[in-house]
Amino acid sequence: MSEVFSRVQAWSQRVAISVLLSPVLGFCDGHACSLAAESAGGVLVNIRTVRALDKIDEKINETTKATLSVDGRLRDLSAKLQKLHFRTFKLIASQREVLRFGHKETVALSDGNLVTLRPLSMENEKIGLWVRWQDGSGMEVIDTRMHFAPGESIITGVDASGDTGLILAIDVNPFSQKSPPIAEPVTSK
Amino acid sequence: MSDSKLRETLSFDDENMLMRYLDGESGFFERRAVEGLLKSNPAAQIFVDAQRRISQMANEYSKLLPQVDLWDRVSQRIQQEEHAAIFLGARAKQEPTGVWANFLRRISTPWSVGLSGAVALASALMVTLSPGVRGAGAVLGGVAQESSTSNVQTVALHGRPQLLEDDRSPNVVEVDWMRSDGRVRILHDPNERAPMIWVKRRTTSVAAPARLRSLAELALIKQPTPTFQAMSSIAATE
Repeated sequence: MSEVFSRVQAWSQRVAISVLLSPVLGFCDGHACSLAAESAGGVLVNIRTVRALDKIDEKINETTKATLSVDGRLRDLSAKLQKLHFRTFKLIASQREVLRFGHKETVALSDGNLVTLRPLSMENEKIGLWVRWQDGSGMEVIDTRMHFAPGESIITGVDASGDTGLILAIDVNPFSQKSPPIAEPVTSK
Repeated sequence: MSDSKLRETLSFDDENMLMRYLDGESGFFERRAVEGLLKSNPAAQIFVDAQRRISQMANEYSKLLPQVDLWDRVSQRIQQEEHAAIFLGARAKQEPTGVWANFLRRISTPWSVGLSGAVALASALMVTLSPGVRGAGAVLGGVAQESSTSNVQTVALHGRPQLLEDDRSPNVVEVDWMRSDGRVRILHDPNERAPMIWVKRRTTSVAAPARLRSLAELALIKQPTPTFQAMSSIAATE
């Protein structure tokens, strides 16, 4: 009788342990494990702050709009910038950060602007990123979560004082220990 | 006796019991009761056969439909949401107001809740920024969407829903959600992979509470680098 009881007790213990551990074991399965693996790496974020000047009337024709003055260090963005209603674009600052997946980082930009970034995932060749931009007055310029291809420049702009605008160009690339060393930040001329 | 006359001999409870039996939801005693009913009442057997035929027809019809593994994607996105919730917290639910909200509340049976939830989730998956879409604003290169003046902005974009995994191009930006205190415009060019987001300030300030909320975070922020301090001074002198 005692043998049967001990067998039942051992079986119930095994069941209890497996039931208790199943969420833990399950958590390390598939997506969660890949997320955990990614957390060992991170992303290289490059934030370029651009001042847009010489606001033009939105009704102006394309030929007049063609006379653009874009900072040489923003050449890769010129095709996009010409869609905006400004004539002159100057790079104010550029900053690079290595962020780990799941970790939030707030970067202070000029004029009290704060950009909070949190890389979330790397799935289907896309980086998931949470971005929140708060300007100097406390206005929430943008708060979004998006997924995009690495190397893509996400451009967000806001009307600033007078006839100027402030633009953030955010580039995100996967970063590993094998990645080339981070270059010195670009500064304004 | 015709089939329809025979069916009338079955009570509503009997039909429900037989349906549960066919769905494999019956318990031990109910299975015994159903087996007894099937032997004793020919109407029960006719009812069961009819249900099986309908089920078979439905299965055959479903094979003719295009095979879209939407549920796999839905479950994948739910998983992503759960992981994101760990870091970002649960999403704030905004109660809808107006005529539509009242209408939706009125039809909120368990079925409609499940269905509307599935539709809402599927709609959320469809919020993609497709590079092939060009909006109305010609001067600015195409304004795909200009949001209303509500505090929480929903980016509903004109785009072909991308359901199939094979159809999904890596060269699109997917936006889960977007909020702003200003008015958001998505500027799009078919030649560019990612759209631009332009925010227009509102005339009245709504940012004061946000500023107060962020005071706690200000203590935690990273100090500006010397480069940025220099840039700030340059910006101040401009």
